[in-house]
Amino acid sequence: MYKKIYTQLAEAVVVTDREHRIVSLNRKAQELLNVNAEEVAGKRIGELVDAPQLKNLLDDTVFFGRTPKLTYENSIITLQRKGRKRYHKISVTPIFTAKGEVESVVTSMVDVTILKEIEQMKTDFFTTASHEFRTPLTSIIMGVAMMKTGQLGELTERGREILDAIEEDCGRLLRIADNLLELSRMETGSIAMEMEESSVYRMIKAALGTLKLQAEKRKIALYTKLPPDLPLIRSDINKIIWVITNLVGNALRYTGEGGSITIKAMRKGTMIYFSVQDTGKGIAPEYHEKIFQKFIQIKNGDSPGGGAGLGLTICKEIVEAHGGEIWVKSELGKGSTFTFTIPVGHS
Amino acid sequence: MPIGKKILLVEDEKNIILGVKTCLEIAAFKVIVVEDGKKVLDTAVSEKPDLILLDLMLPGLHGNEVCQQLKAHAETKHIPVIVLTARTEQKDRDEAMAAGADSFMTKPFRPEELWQEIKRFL
Ligand SMILES: Nc1ncnc2c1ncn2[C@@H]1O[C@H](COP(=O)(O)OP(=O)(O)OP(=O)(O)O)[C@@H](O)[C@H]1O
Ligand SMILES: [Mg+2]
Repeated sequence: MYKKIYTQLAEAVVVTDREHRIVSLNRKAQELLNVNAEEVAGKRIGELVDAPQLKNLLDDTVFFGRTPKLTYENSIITLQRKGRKRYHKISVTPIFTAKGEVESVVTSMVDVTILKEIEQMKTDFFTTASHEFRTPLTSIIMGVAMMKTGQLGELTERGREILDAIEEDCGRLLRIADNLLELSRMETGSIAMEMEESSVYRMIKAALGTLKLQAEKRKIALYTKLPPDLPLIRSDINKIIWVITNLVGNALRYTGEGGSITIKAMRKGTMIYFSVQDTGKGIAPEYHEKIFQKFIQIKNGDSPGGGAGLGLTICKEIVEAHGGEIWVKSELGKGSTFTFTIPVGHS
Repeated sequence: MPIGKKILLVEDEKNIILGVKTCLEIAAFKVIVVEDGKKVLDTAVSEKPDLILLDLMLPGLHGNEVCQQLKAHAETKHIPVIVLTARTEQKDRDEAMAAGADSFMTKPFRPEELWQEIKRFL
């Protein structure tokens, strides 16, 4: 019975031993890899599947005795089949002996090429949409800026106010277009992360550089609390800067004059904890999870013009792509603390 | 601002032409507009502009090809070319630079940003 199921399974399944030698593979796997079972028994899986990340995964599974945590990107391998590139989502599971040692590893592969293609279409769509937004925004922004200089004629007080409002909303529109594109790219994993050993101090400094002026204007104090001995972290530094910038940007937006924002980073075990704490209006508990979803904004009259409720969703995508987590602790009226974690580099 | 310098604006969107042209004229530049990618080289040779602002998505000929033509021609290759485009990908920037562009600006931009970029070359 089980044997039949295994043979007939729509997923390709390969079983390997501790040295990644092939013990067995079902019919779908033979078809997929274009081999037959007798021929390849005892061969290393690397000879059949040309995907370095699979070897790393198997190494980790044998070594740690558990299924490694996989990001979406890392779980997709490409295989050439009949001259065409096919995408497969893989998952690996260890099988244990009675003594609890890893005996073999089961790797299953599902063809997700169609999904990949749809995702690509979606990203192309947003890329085009963002491009189409930018062109008309150019003439609006140019026009408004020139009218504001007065070189095209005198302006009334109200006229100037209206031009300021248009300018602000142009910025907002642009941010929405950019964020939609960024989110779509993150979701499809279609931008490669540029991972490098990077300094936490540098990230925070870069993020705050662009926000200091805004904070001063709004009379909000910015503090940083950083221990002197933080290790480098393996990350895409520009993406982490984006996350910090967004969290502090939100804090600025939802904190009133005279408030303060404190940015901290510290090491706990194998993780760096970043946090952004504000003295703003706080977030009701029922929203603590929801605000990380697309397009969720907490509506109330006094919330100043934001974007589209995409900032935190993108933050979450970025943090999770690094193998970390993000959450908020907050009480209405008592401010909010957003925290995210990033694993310390391998070194 | 350098009075009377001549700028060739290569762009096909009429609203952007209006905006950019006005912006340049405020700064006392002389502006010539070409909308068709195929006519850029001839116009550049005959008008000898001091600088070229080049959109990439042009009817006739893609901006990068126009740029290559300009940079391959003895009479125009010294003229600075600033590419103006709504595309934000690094790949687009790399391609424009490889085609010989001297600089690259992403739309939208503000008048000050345009003036500043032009000033780097004039
Ligand atoms: N520090 C904060 N204090 C209070 N509320 C917050 C804070 N940060 C986020 N929120 C709430 O969470 C919502 C979602 O935030 P998110 O950053 O995803 O979107 P946004 O800031 O509204 O728009 P965008 O980031 O797309 O420009 C916000 O609209 C706001 O209601
Ligand atoms: Mg936000």
